[in-house]
Amino acid sequence: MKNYETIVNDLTPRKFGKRGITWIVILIVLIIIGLIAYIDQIIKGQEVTNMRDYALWGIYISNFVFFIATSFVGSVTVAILRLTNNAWRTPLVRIAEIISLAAICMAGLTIMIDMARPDRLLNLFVHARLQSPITWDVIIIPTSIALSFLLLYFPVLPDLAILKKHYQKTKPKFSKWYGKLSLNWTGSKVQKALQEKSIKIIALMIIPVGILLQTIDAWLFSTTYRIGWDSTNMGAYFISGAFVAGLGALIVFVYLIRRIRKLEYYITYDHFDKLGKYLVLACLIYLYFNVNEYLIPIFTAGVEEDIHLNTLISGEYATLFWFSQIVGLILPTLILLFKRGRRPIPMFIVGLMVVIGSWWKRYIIVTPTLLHPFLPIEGVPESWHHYFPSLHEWVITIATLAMALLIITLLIRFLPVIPIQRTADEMELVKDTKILES
Amino acid sequence: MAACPYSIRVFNWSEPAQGETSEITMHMDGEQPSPDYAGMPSIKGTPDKCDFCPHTIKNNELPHCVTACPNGVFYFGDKYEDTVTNGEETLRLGQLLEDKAGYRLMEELGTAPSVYYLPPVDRLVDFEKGLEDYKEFESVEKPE
Repeated sequence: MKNYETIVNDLTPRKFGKRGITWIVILIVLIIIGLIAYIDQIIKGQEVTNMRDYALWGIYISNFVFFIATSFVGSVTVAILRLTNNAWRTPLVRIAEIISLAAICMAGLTIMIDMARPDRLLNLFVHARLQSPITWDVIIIPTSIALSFLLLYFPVLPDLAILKKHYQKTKPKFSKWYGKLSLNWTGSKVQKALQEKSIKIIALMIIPVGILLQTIDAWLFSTTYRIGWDSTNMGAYFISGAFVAGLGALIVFVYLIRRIRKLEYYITYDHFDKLGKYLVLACLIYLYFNVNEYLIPIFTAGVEEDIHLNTLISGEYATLFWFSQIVGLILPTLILLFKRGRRPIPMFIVGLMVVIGSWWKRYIIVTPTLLHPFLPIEGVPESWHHYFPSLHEWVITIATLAMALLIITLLIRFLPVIPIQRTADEMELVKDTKILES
Repeated sequence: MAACPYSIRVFNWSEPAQGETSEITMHMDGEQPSPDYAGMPSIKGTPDKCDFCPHTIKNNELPHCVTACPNGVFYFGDKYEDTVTNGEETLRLGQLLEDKAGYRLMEELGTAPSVYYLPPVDRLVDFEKGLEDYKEFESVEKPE
């Protein structure tokens, strides 16, 4: 058993090494390139994208849906595991909260990138129409951002107080900031009760809000008269998909953080095993909804839907479709069913497969449907019959992903990535009142 | 755009090249342009759709598509006055639709569009003929 001091030492944030700085520089360069492309897009208009009148949503939207889906990880791990009293979540929740916050913030930003007139953003609020799914989205995204922030912030308070004390001598400036951010946390009984209650309320709220977020995202599609979107399956399909995408992202980050920060003592094989089982459950549920979404309609598909399904299964989008189904869903399920598959390294690879598969899956949901309108595509240039993102779209999308990674990296840099207080409490090392007495 | 099952809307992906039509202003007695006062010039970064040329209606003229068609296939009018015209003849809309079996596209969706179609009758020439020089999308000269 480690004593309290070593735990604090192990879990306090680390300065960036050479690798860390290189990583940050790469991310910032990617973001700057994306920013330049975005400014160009504002000046020239959306014609710099390969979106046109038929393919009017492209990777900006599919990337947005991906971010929304990934943000579900907060609800999934933190709230659900909390309500089901799964104690193994402790070293993983902070990472999940960080991913969740970064993803939902980036989702809000990504949807703005798709707007051709961001200057009229305020109209979304001023002229909001409650019957419009867009308005539902405008309401739920800020709500989710606020809740995700609180879900990260409230549990981190005791740790901030610990960091304040930890840095008191070595880095007084840091210490001051942590002190301010910890909102004068002393660990008193009143504070603890208040914090406990607040977290409970947030954890309870984040589940319906998370589910609503995914569902509204699905309704953005299913409220349109479009083959492939106009489906009653959409809500549940999106929720289960978000379950998979979020857990996949969590596993990738848990592996990387454990390796880079050398946290093998805290994040054990057992955690990976549990996460793996959790992901298998998510994958199987998602597989079930995929069967409902793609396989069952084949039996009753009308002519138009038949054309749509055929381009997915054997046509233009077959490669991407089967890639996202097999690499992003079926293979991970098979690998994780075996105990050996739930060890850290295979899990990391599976996590990557799931995340990449999930990203392309969103592309498969958005693009092919738009290219199969009810009335045949006529009177437009040949290039409008197809869609593949332009350089601008790629650069900007990569920048948004880089920005999400940057937010995550910076939060990991400055926050204890594993809850210190909780870990210590669970190991029953020191009474917290004692620590903070001085 | 995504919600329209008829794919009828278009988007101004870049600065719209509309020539003289971009000069049109409606002068709706100080009213701000809004969906109720259509017919404003296209604006970059916003969607458009055919609004049946309110700027010509205002001058008691027919929409351009009606006056431009040499075969007079387009009829335009007011549903509530039950009157349509192609510039040569004026007919009762209800009677026309009944006589010539008018229909609307995708009636089953329940979107109740205001555009009716008449099925082809008395075709004199095969439609396939005369398409040798037809170039999709370039068949109409664009205003410079």
